Amino acid sequence: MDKLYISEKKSIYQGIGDLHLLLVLPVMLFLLAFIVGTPKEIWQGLIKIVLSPAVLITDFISIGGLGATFINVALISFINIYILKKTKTHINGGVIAAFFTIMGFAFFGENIFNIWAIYLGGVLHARYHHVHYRSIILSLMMGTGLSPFISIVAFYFELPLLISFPLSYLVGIAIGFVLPTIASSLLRAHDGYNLYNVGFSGSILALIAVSILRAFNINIVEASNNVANQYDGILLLVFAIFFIFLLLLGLYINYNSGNKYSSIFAFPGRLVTDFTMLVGFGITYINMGLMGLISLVYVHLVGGRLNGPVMGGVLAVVGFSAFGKQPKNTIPIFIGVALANLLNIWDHDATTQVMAGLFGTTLAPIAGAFGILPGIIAGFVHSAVVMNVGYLHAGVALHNNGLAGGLVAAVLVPIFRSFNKDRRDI
Amino acid sequence: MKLTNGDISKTSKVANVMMNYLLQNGANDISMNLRHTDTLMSMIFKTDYIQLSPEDISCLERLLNVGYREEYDDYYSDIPTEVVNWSDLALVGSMIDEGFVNYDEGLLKLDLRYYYDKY
Repeated sequence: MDKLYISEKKSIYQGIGDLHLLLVLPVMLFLLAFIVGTPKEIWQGLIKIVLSPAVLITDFISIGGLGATFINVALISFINIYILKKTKTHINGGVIAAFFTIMGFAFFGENIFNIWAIYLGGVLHARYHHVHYRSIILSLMMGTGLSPFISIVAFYFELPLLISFPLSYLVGIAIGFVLPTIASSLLRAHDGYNLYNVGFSGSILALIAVSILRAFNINIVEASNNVANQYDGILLLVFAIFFIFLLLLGLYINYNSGNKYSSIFAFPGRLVTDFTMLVGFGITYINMGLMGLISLVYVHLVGGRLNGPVMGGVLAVVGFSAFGKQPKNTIPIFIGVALANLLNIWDHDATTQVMAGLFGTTLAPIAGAFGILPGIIAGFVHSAVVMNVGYLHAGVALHNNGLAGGLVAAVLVPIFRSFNKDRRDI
Repeated sequence: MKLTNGDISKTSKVANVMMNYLLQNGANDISMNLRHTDTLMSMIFKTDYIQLSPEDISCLERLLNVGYREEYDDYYSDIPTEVVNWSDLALVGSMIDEGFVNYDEGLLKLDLRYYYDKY
């Protein structure tokens, strides 16, 4: 094993104190919301967001406006920080990954109405199985990617609100109750080479639920697929500032230098690679900031624009840069997806394709473990698969790429292993 | 106290990772003593000569003491581990409460403890 380097000794940045770091971006967005929108616009926008189907791809910026979306993201973040604080959850790579992913989902599917039921289901799970709520918090946080299901049942099932509203919460509670068990079990399907494991598990659950509904001629409403590309400039500015802040904070914790940052490249990134434990918070924050900036560059290099769903992808990359992703294992996936987009039949700058690149980095451990070429192949294959699995769950699972990534990893990893029989480290 | 399926799964995972780690580092003679009481689960590993640098020992000690992380414990105990790297040792560290490392003239003794009833 390579030598291990730990970046910080400043205890203030360890443990529960890091909740303050999670607050930075939501507070920034909360304040900005009142610069880009009036309170009345924000309120009306929030109502539109709550009443939207929220299925893939619903850009909340397009539905409710930039100010209301920022408030939605901030409120969802505050709720999750409160839950983390209340459950005394330690801040680590997994929590950072889940938190940033949720923030991203709040741009295009999660809202202040539809996330609660899944957390309530978690309470029942914890009581029934006699486990602490904290032990399933990661599954529940990531599991809120199924929140659109709750919105669909509540507002789009052509039932009286008196029935549909409680029914939607029952659906959410059922999801929260079973998801932690399924997520843990399905890890074995891809051996930890798909970082969005809860996304994979949740999407399969959604696939089964939607199949049953379709068997009874109940179809899920389709999303408008309208995205708001006109805010590219402001989103670029705001998030570039935040990523530079992360980078500088990391450099400060790492004794005012980028010294030993390259030690992070030694980790393939397979689950569970918690950079906060392995290399410390300093290098982890440097990595998160850098990966955020790389993601912004990627989006614009492939001709994409920043909008709600794309921001979701960027934030997922940043979050998982505390939990396995680093430039060496991520860039080959970007290249693979970009290459596929040049050759395939879809618009290379379409939001779905840009999302495939960003969320496709769920397969980063393949590039980390097997090398650049297998990483490019994984990205290439992923971009094709992801365009075909959305129908299966009708867009109620925001983790569409997690499902595609899980399928791709389950098939490609044994193949790549068969070409590396002499290696024991994969 | 009767062990739950989760306790058994966690114990197997920790034993598996640590055994693989010791074998990878050249141990030829390993003994493991597992003790389960009402309050704790203790696993003691002893090896014959094993070559580890002072940095290796320091990292091992640090990772085995990253602190119990309930959110990793149940969820990731099912993930397969064949070859151990630092990430796996950190995962073990997050599944136990304490890890005592004693390395003296090539002989390694690890004492890993997990306490029930932490709350």
